[in-house]
Amino acid sequence: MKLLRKWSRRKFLTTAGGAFLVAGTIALWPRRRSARGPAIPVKPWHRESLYEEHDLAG
Amino acid sequence: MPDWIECQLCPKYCRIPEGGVGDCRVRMHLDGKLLATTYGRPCSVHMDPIEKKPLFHFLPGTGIFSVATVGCNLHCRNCQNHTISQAMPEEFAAYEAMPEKLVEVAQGEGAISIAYTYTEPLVYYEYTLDCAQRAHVAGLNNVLVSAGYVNQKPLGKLLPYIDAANVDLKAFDNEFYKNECGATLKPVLATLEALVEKGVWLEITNLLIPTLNDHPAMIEKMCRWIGEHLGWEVPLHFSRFHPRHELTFLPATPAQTLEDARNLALEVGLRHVYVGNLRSREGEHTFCPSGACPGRATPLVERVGYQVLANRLQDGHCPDCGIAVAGRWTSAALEAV
Ligand SMILES: [Zn+2]
Repeated sequence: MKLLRKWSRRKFLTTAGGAFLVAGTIALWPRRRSARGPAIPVKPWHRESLYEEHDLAG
Repeated sequence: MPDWIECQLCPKYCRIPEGGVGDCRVRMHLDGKLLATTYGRPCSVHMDPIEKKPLFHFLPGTGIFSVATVGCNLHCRNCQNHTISQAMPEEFAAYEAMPEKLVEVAQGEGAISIAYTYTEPLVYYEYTLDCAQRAHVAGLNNVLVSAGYVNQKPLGKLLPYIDAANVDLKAFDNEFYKNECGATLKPVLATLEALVEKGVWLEITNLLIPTLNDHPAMIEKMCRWIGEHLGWEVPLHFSRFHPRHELTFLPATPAQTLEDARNLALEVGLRHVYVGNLRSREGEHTFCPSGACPGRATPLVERVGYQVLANRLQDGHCPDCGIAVAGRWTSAALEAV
């Protein structure tokens, strides 16, 4: 409480607003090209893709 | 150390980490392999009139066995089938239908064609390819209903088994593809050209969305491109938009917009232009493309909705002037039935 009283109201709002903005940006950041799916095992009907390239960078 | 696999099926070239899926949600990196997870697991299986695809110049009045798995590499904000196209495989109950079973069921239903449709048949590519090969052996026709957003190499391998296609050309504008669909225009145009070059019967659908892609200048440019690059006989279907998915704030396309677009396309020189998702006085029928035909005011093929009311074509020719009308009007499979 002592700390909060030391802060001006404006300073508090600025800090809270800043944190809110950072959290919002993280939440709404454009999704990556691939999402992580649920951890499922390979199913018998799954087929290997005919068109792919494994990473060459090693 | 990177441990992704790059999917090379479509122009998105998703680099997928172990346990991840591509932008289409159905191509997954598991145990170091890239897998097509909806192979043999269709979510929709249905007998449809072929007019619903829409195909108007391909075996009119016949039934077509239509199949789809979940998944799509586009994310159109107006998607009518978003519940399946934008779903993850495990979110949706699926049937078990390996290619041999699918063809068997299609034949049992009395179909002479199979349509790979509803979502995006090119993302369940391996299933489409295997089914199409089996269907051909069984004497069935294969129809692709697609947005055409795929790489040329896989497309080239599939096309020998495809008899007809309806490609949704969403707009003649790359910005529209980027903003409304999450894709680009150029690969779609390349697909259209490849289909014609490989002798696949092609019809095009263009869904007109108020304010987004209904500008007459854009429509005119598109029609000219179709005529010059694909041929003036390629049927074009202007389809009516209904507020759906993320575009519920827009009104349905006014009937006049669709009739105007049809008239514009005919003026530009396209021979067969239709209006879809709307009752239209002339936009649902096929007329003789010859300006000199004495019977050109009477429809050659008369339709209401998906129903063919009358078909006056004689072996693909106009009975009044004898001109051949572009299309595939008979089928070996049809004659055998
Ligand atoms: Zn005629």
